[in-house]
Amino acid sequence: MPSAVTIPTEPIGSIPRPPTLIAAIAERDGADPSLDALYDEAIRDTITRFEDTGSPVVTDGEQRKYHNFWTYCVHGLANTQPDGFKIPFAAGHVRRMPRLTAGPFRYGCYADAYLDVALRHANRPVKQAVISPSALSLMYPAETLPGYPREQFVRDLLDQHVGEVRRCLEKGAHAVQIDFTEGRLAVKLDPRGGLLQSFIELNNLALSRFSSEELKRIGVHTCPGGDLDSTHSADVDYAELLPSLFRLQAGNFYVALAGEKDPARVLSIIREHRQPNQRVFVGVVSPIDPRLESAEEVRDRVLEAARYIPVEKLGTTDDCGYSPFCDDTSTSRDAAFAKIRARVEGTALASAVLAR
Amino acid sequence: MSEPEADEERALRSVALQNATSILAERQRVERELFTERERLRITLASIGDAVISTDADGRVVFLNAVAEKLTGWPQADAAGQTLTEVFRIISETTRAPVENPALRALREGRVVDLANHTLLIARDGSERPIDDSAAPMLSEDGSPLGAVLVFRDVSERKRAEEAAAQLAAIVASSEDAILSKTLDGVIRSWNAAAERVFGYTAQEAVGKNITLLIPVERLDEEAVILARLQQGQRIEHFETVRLAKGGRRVYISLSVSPVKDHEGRVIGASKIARDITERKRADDVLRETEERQALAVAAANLGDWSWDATTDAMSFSQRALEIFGIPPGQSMTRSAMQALVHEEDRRPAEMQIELSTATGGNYEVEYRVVRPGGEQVWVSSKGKAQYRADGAISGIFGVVQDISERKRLESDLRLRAEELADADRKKDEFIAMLAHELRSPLAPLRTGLQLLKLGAADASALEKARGMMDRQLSHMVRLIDDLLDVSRISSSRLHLQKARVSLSDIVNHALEAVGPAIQAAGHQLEVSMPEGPVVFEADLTRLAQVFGNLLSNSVKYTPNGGRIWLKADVRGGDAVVSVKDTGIGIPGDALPRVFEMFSQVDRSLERVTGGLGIGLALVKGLVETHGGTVSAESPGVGLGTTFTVHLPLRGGDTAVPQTEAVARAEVTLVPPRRKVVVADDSVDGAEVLAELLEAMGNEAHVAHDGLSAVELVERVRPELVLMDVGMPRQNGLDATRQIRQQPWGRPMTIIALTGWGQDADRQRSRAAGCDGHLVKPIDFEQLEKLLSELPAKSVE
Repeated sequence: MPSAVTIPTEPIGSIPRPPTLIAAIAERDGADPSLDALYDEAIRDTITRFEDTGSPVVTDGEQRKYHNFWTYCVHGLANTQPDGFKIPFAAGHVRRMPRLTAGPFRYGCYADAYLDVALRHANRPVKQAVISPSALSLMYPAETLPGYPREQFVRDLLDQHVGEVRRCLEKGAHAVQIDFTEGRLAVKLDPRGGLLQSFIELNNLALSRFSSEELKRIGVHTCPGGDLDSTHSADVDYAELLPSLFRLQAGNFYVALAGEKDPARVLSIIREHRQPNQRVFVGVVSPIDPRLESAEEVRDRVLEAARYIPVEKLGTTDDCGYSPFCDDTSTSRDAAFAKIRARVEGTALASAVLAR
Repeated sequence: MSEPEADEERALRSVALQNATSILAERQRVERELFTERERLRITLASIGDAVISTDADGRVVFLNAVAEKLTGWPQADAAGQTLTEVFRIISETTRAPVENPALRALREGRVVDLANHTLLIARDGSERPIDDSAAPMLSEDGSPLGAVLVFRDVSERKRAEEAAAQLAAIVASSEDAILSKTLDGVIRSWNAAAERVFGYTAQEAVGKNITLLIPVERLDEEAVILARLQQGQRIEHFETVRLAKGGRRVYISLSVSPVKDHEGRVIGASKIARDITERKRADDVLRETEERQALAVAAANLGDWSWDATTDAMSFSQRALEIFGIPPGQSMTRSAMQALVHEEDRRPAEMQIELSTATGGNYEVEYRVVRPGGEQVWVSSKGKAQYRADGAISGIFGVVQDISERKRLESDLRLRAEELADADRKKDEFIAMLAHELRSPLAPLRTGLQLLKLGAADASALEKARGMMDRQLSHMVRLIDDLLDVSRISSSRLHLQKARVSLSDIVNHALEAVGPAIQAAGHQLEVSMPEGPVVFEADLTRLAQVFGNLLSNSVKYTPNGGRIWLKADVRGGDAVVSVKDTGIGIPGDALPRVFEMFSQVDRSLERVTGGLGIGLALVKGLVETHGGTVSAESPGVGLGTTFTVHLPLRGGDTAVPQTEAVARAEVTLVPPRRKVVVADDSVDGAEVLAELLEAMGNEAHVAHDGLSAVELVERVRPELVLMDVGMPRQNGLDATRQIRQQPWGRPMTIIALTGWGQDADRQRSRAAGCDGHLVKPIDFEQLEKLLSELPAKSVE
């Protein structure tokens, strides 16, 4: 038994924006330069409060992803239309993706731009979240675009994604998290798993371009979706997803667990399918759960997970972002940081327990 | 789910599934790329020059490339799954102990491991080869070992190259020659030990310096020339020059420079080999000076040199030798061909001398004549020495030749001159002897006459006869002395002619007047023929009369009594031509050319008719030539008479007045002797006065004037004493003595040789002939008295 155990804990990413910012974005286009000061202030405050929680790794709270975690990089592109696919949430609302109307496919902005700002304010390691290529792959319409075949789109998509991740790593991100919330959605859309397999393959094509050292700093986040305290695929059994998920060549997995009805079952599945080199950050707080978890509660969840996952391959995280969509104000910033603090403290408690 | 929602989900599924197809295509494309990459890697490994073996984490062989298969002898199929130590067996080259497998160590330690030096790989068939290798662990992403990669290579060639390089380095280090390298900028890069010795700089002092450190200022241009040739890839070999050693000492070196090229063939520098030839240079200088001196000496001596190669029988000649032998340049010669050029009379002797000398290992020196191809003959002096092989056989001969034709000519001239001088010396001796004889001959009667006058016993007629005799003898002596003086004057061109207009008849008459008494005395018949008209010309009458008088006297002397003499004068071609012909003893043909030479008599024989110095004809020739004329002699042979012919130019000619002395014949009557004595002497006066003296002394004296008469007289009168003149006509005194001694009546008598010849040889000859004594004229009265008194008392019958 190691004499000192430190179980790493990391946030997923998004923190509810300050109301003034949300209001300003609602009034103007999110890319309006006049909002820069508000963005900057929101980022600074977010990081400060993040660090105040004791979280060893912080994020910018995705303050500048003024639309959402999914489309931040393609929002407003000239060769897109906003009438893409709708992502239905359990609460009844939908989020709509942009639709690609012509090639070539290029990001409008890259997450490493957000990282640049965050690193200026942060005193602790900064984690950066990016959207997965499989999520963006749904932008290409059913009909083949003239002069821009789907295969070329896929290659362009991979190039854009890999470039974004690599730049984040190169700029000093503590970790890059690929948001893969569509994994469970894919199972929901195609229960036979074919769609999920193609998502896995697409993402693995991207991951195969990184070295093993780089992969140690790359993780994949999966959750049933969290928006307005609602999910899009919570009804999908992890058993349908996780075996395939762990086939991804990433070094880290951020798996929502706190909101699961039967965490032990999920942990069993993780234990069964996790590859030896893969670290699993299990979700120990649930952003969509209005209840504030206590540190002890968190501690217990960690200790339970530690029974299924080797401590050296175990980490803790939030089940999901606290505000994946910009306009989501279902959770307050205070609540979010309180939950984060609980995660941090509870993880520390667990580490202390496990160290004994 | 509402209908629109269902449509939306179907559309989404459709897109997702279409994407899946594209994703699959992309994955397949990536896999193809990966496959291609793997193939490239596999081919790279297979193609790589190094051997590569990869293992799994347990150290079992997974992969061998072709080179590894070749070096280990294990094909991939056999090796796969085998332990690495089975396939890759290595030992220490020095200890031959097994060496730990580097791949297994890399696996164990998780780090790159290089092979120890001097490792031998033992192939499957047991063959061994030196290798270099390294091993690296293959680690998984979490650092756990997946296997190891072993890379190794056969370093046999490199080892050999290293050994060769080491040997080369050792050679360079131990070379006696300075070896250094430099860049194209002239910067010295390497410097061996010999360079330190030759130039005095240590490697530390020289390396990094510019090569001009070693080059004298006046030779800096050489470096530019060397550099230009190097850049053209050319070598410079054995370039002899001068370089500076440390301290400024100058060193003669033989320099060879080679370009140093990089792997692309570009000239990047040069290597230099410098040999110190200072000592050799000094020796060369000495040798060259010696050769120059020798060449100078050879040239000064006009010597040619040649050599003969015994192996090829080829001769080689210097230019001068070719000139001496007359061999055209470029013509090949053998020794036999060279021998053929030697005069056939000299060839064998010369070859024998050469063979004798070379057989004894010595030098030879021989002189012979060479007959050049054009027929020209030259004398050469040849000196040579043979060279020998180890087995003692002659490998060749070298020698020098000198044209000594001029020396030979001078030697011949000298020899001839010496002979002439010897002959002249002999003639001089003979002349002096003759002169003594001729001067003594008149002295004897003079002394006798004086003794007679002293005794005063003779009657008046006898005294008058004695005085006449003494006068004639004195005149004869004066004439002899005058002739000598005239000859001397003519020889020294001090004779002064007293020319005047004279007639030829006057000249001849003066001559006849002088000689007439002698002609009459000899009973000769003289015929004189003169031209009809007067022949007058400028001449010294006395001298020309002397000429013809001498010629007539000569005829009188050499013509037996009762002979005939012709004098014929004529004018032909502007010359007065006067010939004197006799029926005398003649002159041998071979003696004719010399009859006019000084001191020359055809034969100083004892039979000579008269006395004389033998200078008469020389005097004739000199006097005639002084007058611008010529004289010649002809004779059909011995005993057939002689003709002398004088040509005198009538214009500008000289005349001479002969100074002849008539020699009166004197008759001396002696008192009756107490001893019976025969006096034999061709000098009538001398004999007569001696006889008279003997008779005045109370003896009986008889006289004979030639040898035969003397023998007859002695046989008839049987004297006690014979005073025998040696040189007499008809038979000389010695032969007469021998004849007398051969007779019984001739043995007891005393015979005393009485002669003007008083040399030892003359005394020996007279003694050998049977004479009891030898008295030299003129006889001393006291000697005569003593001789008579010592005669045996018994008289000769």
